[in-house]
Amino acid sequence: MASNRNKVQRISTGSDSLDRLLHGGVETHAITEFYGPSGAGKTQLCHTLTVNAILNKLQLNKKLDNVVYMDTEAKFRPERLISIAQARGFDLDSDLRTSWLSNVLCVKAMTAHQQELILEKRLVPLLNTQDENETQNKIVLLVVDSVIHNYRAEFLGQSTLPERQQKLYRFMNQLSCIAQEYGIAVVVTNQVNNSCKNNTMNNSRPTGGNIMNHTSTYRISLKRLAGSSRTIARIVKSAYHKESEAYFLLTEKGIEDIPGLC
Amino acid sequence: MATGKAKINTEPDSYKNAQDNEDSAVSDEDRSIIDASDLELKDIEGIGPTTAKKLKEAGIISVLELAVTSADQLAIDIGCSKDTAATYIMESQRLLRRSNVLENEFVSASSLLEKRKSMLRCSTGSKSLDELLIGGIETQAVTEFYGEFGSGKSQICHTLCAIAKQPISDGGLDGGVIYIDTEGTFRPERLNQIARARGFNPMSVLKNVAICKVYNSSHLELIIKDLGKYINAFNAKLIIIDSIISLHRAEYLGRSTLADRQQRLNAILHKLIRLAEIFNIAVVITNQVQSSPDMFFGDPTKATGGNIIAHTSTYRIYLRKSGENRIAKMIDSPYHPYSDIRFTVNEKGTDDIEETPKSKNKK
Repeated sequence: MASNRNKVQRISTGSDSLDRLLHGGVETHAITEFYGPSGAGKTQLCHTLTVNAILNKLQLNKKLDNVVYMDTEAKFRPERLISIAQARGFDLDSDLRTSWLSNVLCVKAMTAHQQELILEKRLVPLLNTQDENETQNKIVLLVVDSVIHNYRAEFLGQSTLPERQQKLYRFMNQLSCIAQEYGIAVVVTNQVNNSCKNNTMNNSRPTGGNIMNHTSTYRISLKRLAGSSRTIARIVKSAYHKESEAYFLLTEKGIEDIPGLC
Repeated sequence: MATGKAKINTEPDSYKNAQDNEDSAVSDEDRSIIDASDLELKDIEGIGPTTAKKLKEAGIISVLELAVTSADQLAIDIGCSKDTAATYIMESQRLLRRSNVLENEFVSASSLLEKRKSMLRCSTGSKSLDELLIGGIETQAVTEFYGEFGSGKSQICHTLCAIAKQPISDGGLDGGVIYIDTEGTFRPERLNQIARARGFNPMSVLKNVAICKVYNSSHLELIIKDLGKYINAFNAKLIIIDSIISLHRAEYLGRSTLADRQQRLNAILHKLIRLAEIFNIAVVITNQVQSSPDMFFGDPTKATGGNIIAHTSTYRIYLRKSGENRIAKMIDSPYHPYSDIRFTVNEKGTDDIEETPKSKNKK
């Protein structure tokens, strides 16, 4: 078991303090969930992770990996990937300038049903062919931004809640199998809702209830501090990380350390 | 146009192959782009004349509309099981993919970048506001403006109405506008004035805008449900909803109805974002504000609609008054920098602030 753990790779998030929080970055063989209110930096984090997962290999002179980006909120922007890569100063010569983008496979899921089918009927066969075929680029990161969007819009009212949660559980369980079987880092984002049951302020909770809490391996809450561009990341659930916090900035580079606070 | 349809009918096998190759994520550049309006419901696999008739009776007349319907709604509308409805929707999307209207399921970011070039931008009339939005309001996305009364939300909407008619080279969308007015603030005479001040032909601008006054929240939900039909009828490139929240805010009172209200709002927004993507149109919504009493420092105004609207709108811009001028601030976006700019409202609608020594302080 311990030797299996040695196979775990880590993908840098782009911020040293956040990497330190995660013991080096987002892990393969696990699901890492980032949740937070709108504007907290979830999508920016996903974009930065995508760039890092592919281009950090460039510096090691290794073959580039592939990233699968499942976009449910229509917020994937390839031009943003380019601007992050440029701002982070990756040495891209003319033919690599935009050609590395072909290592990002983007898939749009417009309904919850489609989201499930893509995973089951498209992604798993794709991963199987990759296992047989050594020459193909390996998929190292799967981003789902966000996992809840379609479910939240399609299943209305209390009566459909059990069905929604069951489907969500199945989807998350499949992600978990994929992560472990193929050694992929799975990153999912999640939205928040406000519970009005208690009267305390700032009671926003991640959506998806217990299902999401149980199925994600690591859970990180993101929150943008009022009146500043700082985001605070806090580990909420993990098997071995300390419950601690990290701060980072949202900039041209995607996400970045706060200068002078390290 | 006829060739497009003939191609689908005569060469089903070649398209099947293309479908099989989808896993390889290679986009077939050679496939000709077929106008989506040429596709008919009966071209979809598994839909015969009877189902097509049922769909048409339910108000779904094109493949594009079917592709953005939710399975639940469809199951109720045509009286079939939810799984069958889901299959119809999947098949319609597959047909669109084969006809190159939608991307393949797995598509590389580089070809997506190429595809994003089909995206249009509609100028807002103010250069600095365009700068904030990197060129203007995008199609394939939902742009939300929120702010206090008088912060310029409706003025931006009116100006967009006038500009959307203009040719693409002049910053317009060269298409119609559907203006869904929930607050009763649309004024044709104001649009006339803006068009005149900008040197457009006022009559052609006014003819180009389809106004829909909405009186209650169920009416709004109904309109949004049938929006696909109206988009085709008016050749609309821009949909404005001013404002998205007012009816729901007025009708759903108290905490006990909050969950229901938020879910209904979410369903509307979800439909809007899918329509924007599939029809390649721009959707602009406005939102009101509330003040949060728990804030002890900083600006206490918050957008209404809570997390639902915050998560769903692609771009979020906060407008606020600053004397005679207005300040627009990017609050949430997948790729715009979070910065702020100043603009003004005059007889041309939204406009740049004239160069005075004072405005040199701007950011």
